[in-house]
Amino acid sequence: MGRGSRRRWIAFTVVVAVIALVLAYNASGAAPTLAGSSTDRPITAAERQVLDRAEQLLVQACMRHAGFRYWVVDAPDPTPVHRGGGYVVGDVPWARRHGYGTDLAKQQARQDPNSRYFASLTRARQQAALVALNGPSPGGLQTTLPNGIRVQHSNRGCSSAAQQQLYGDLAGWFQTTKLTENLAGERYGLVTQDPAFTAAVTAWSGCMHQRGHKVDTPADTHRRVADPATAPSRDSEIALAVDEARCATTTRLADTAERLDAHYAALQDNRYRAALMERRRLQRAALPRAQTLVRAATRATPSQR
Amino acid sequence: MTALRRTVVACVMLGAVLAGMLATASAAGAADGYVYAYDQPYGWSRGGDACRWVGNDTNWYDCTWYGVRKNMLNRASSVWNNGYAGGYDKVNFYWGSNLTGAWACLGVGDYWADLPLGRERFSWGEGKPGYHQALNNNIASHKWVTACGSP
Repeated sequence: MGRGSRRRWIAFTVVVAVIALVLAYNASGAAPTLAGSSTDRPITAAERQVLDRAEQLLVQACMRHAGFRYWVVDAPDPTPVHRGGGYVVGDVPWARRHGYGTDLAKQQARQDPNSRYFASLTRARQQAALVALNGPSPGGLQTTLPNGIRVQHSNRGCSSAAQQQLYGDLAGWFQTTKLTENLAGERYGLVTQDPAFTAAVTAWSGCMHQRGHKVDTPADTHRRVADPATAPSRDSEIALAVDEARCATTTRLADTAERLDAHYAALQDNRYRAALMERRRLQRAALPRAQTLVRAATRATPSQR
Repeated sequence: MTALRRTVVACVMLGAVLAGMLATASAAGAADGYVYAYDQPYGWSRGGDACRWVGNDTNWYDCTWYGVRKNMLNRASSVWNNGYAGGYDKVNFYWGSNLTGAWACLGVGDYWADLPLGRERFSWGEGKPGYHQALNNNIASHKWVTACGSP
């Protein structure tokens, strides 16, 4: 090959290589995903509901086989976001209607059909129902959380069987579930010990004292309302919640809590990226199976559900 | 109506009343399964002293294991939430009696088998007595809740 044609050959090869690299780079970013490749799109709330329903349908079938009734229950609405990120009641109109939301919480718990069913059973049947649902002993699964907490769980019973069937990897699902469940608690510690939060709480406490409430932190008011021994009347609960919300607004505790919660949530997303990606992978893989299950159940007559 | 039939009817009615009372107790937020505390780590398999509860207990000084009176106040080295999923199925463990002080929350079906390792702590209730202390030999009372984070 002459020198000129060799140069042209090299140039051609380089151009092809560059084009290939550019295409690959673009494909990884924007193109629809190929089977097996990961994606950053989070699982939607609707998809989570499908997964949750499918899991419960599996539990239901298993419990029925063991001689017990079981209802598929949609997860209750999360505690209404009444500003303040869950750390303090920060919405005055909401506080006027609901106080601290104890009325809503009690209503939800009271309506849970599985809870009521369990309560209606004899002691002996309750024991049997627990064995059927949870398994006979607490061991089989174990995981260690990032903060060192080690939690074990049964790998038997209908709950575990349903998860194994849906996600295909019971141990892996258990691990990521416990980590996810622990995030709120970890974030609570991070937020409440942040100097911006403690400074705003001090101001909030001063404001509350001025209104006649001897409380140091929002946890004090929440505890007072949650404890049956000290729980105030509904009117008093609402008055207390309204003062809490007013003080949380003027001292900007509500804003500060929300901002810090979002800040530390982003930090956690980063810190636990691998584990959270793994969770998404398991959820995404289970979705087709889940959708089939839920569709089949919807087609069944109401009396069979 | 014969005497026998009167007795049967009375029994049926009494049963219905009791069932109604049981349902009411449940609606008020009572037990949703059992919670166990053992004085040994890995208590479920190792044995030793233990208490089992249906419902809440404001002081672990006086609790029972299948009818036998025990004292688990500040003695537990492993705990198991054998709750029935739905409603009040998580358990708050408190540093102080009467559900006071900082607390830890155990999910349904979960088992903290080895509290002496010192990993599990009262991680809720910032500013409250006992906050961040280890749970081992330090739990004084408990209550069932619907979600971890509830005080």
